Amino acid sequence: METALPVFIYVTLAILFGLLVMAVTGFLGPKKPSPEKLAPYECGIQEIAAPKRRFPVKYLLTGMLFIAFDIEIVSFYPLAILLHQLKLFGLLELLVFMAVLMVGYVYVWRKGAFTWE
Amino acid sequence: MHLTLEHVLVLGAVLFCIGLYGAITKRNAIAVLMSIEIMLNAVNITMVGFSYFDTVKLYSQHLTGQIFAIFIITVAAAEAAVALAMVIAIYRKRATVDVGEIDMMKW
Amino acid sequence: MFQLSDLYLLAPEISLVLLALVVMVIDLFTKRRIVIATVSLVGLIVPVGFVIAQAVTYTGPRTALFRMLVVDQYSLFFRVIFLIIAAFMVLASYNYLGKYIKAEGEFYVLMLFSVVGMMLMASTGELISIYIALELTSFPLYAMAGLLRSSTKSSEAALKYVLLGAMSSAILLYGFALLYGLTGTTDLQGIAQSFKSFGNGNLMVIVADVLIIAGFGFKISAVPFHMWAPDIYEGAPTPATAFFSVGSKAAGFAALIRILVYGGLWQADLTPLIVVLGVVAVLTLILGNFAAAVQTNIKRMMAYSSIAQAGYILVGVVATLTMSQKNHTAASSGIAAVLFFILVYVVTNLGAFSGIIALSNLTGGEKIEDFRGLWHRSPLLTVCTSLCLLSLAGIPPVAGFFSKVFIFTAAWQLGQPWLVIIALLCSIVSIVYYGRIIKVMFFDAPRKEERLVAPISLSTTITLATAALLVLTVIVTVVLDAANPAALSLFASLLGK
Repeated sequence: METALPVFIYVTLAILFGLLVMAVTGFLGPKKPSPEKLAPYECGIQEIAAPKRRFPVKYLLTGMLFIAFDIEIVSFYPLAILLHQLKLFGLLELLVFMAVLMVGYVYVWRKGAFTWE
Repeated sequence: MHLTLEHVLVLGAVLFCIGLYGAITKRNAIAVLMSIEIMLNAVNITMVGFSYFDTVKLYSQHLTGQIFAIFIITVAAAEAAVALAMVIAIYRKRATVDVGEIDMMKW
Repeated sequence: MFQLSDLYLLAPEISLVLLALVVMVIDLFTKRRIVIATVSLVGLIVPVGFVIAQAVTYTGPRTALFRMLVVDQYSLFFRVIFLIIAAFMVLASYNYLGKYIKAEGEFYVLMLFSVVGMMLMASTGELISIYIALELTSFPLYAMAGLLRSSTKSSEAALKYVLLGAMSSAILLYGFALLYGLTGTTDLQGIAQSFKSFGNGNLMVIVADVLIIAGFGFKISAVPFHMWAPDIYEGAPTPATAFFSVGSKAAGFAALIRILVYGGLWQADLTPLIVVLGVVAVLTLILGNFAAAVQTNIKRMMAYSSIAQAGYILVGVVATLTMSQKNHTAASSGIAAVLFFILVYVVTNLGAFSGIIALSNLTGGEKIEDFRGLWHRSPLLTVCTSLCLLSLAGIPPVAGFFSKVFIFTAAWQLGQPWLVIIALLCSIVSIVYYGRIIKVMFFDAPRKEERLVAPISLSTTITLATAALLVLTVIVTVVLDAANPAALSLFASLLGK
């Protein structure tokens, strides 16, 4: 229980600070509401299209490829721990893994998945 | 009160059931996918719990469960990518991701 | 530790991965389908050569790569089956791809990667590798289901497949997690060792087993988990459907039997589990056969037929589990029958599907009535397809008859007479719906008179499949001689070799 005490103090302080900042801006800040400002996605500019419209999926392809390539790096954690024991075998495994991943990367690249439009 | 294996296992089981319930009842394909991720993470918690507390000393190989969890995480990411690709393919054609509306063939 | 000979044991899989990568690179530089297909087919010679070399020089079960890889007769048997599937698929899909799918190279690459996963599923002895192999098998299948980009049905099939597949993997993994917690290891031999000391009626063991069976139940389309099969079979491109129906099922059974038997789970008292599996088998048989009888779309009918076939295989598995504790050698006869059944099923179903691909390509329809009078329009295709369907129904002269007889006698001797009786009654129903197609093709009046000429690759495939079927019929005993030690080798880890 005692080890958790600093965490409790820290969390309490963080919450209090957040509340304090919100309260201070509420007191000090100027308030001039207008319909544009009260609208969702308020930024002072009249909205051009309905906010429910979804954005195009071009970026999603890049995003999905990123997920796949990015998370593979996690596989290196166990290897990194054991690399000294595995010696050359471990290094070779790493290289084979990278090579297979590279073929996939080149494939995706050449197929034009990184070019938008 | 200390954290014991029971706590971890109960958390894992509860999360797994929540995920399973969501995967079966949710109508939005993305929500189903998220429920499945919850199930997988429940498995991860269970694995890491067993690995950390290591109840069976017989083959004491502490790290196996954690390595398993790492593999599950990587594979789940690839799974999410594949599933999202399918969702986009459907969305382009039907403009919906509602599993209930995707019904050209009966289930 | 790692030795260079480990690489030799893994060589079939390694060479197949390399082949898939080569095909992938070739696909970047050429759009000519013939090049890609030829490279795939010729390249398959290398893994086939390695498997043959390993089989010829076989001296006993060997493990490699920290006991993750197990090369015994069982894994060699399944490696052969999966390589047969790969070769057939390259041939059977060639024309369909040119006609309907733009991404020809991708189809071959995905198919080859999936076959690597299937081979690994049969030959790994460790839970993490089984999981990775399973997903390596499944991901390409999901993508293959959605390859018909113009068809909404195909995208739908892919989405359903990926969501249900991911859910089943999660359920399976929870079972693995419990198994790991119970035994403290993911090594199947280690699990088998520690199950020796487990008392009867351990609830956790039963729960873990049920979760694992539920997880694999999706892959093999056993009944409470079969809902995906008809939709996905109907929506996916037909060659991909053929691939699902044989590959996914054979690989699912390979891994399930490996875990249940090689992992020694039967050493704990499994009476509740046997009851559960028995009920699943009965439901699978009844629903598969009766639902198939009322279908009008031939791909949907084949989907239910493949569910029914999974039921027969399950009967063999249940029978083996019933006897395992008392008598290993007797129990292994159930697995041997299952292995023989799977081999025959793979060849037959591939033949039937290539026939269906060819005939529905030529007639432009997938309804059973579209097949009317094909005997007058394309005799060779009709005869070959009918032979395959007869074998699926288990009519005497063809191999399918023997595979059913072996399963039924094994199950009867191992103490499951009721299952056998139900399975027999169900196969009578199956004669009705397979027979209906044959009747429509031979005796109904054709819609048009003009002759249909199948493309050379498809007619080669179906002739080869039918020839293989007839050869299997002749060499039944030879195959059984291979299947028996393969089945027994699963028990080897517990019998002190």
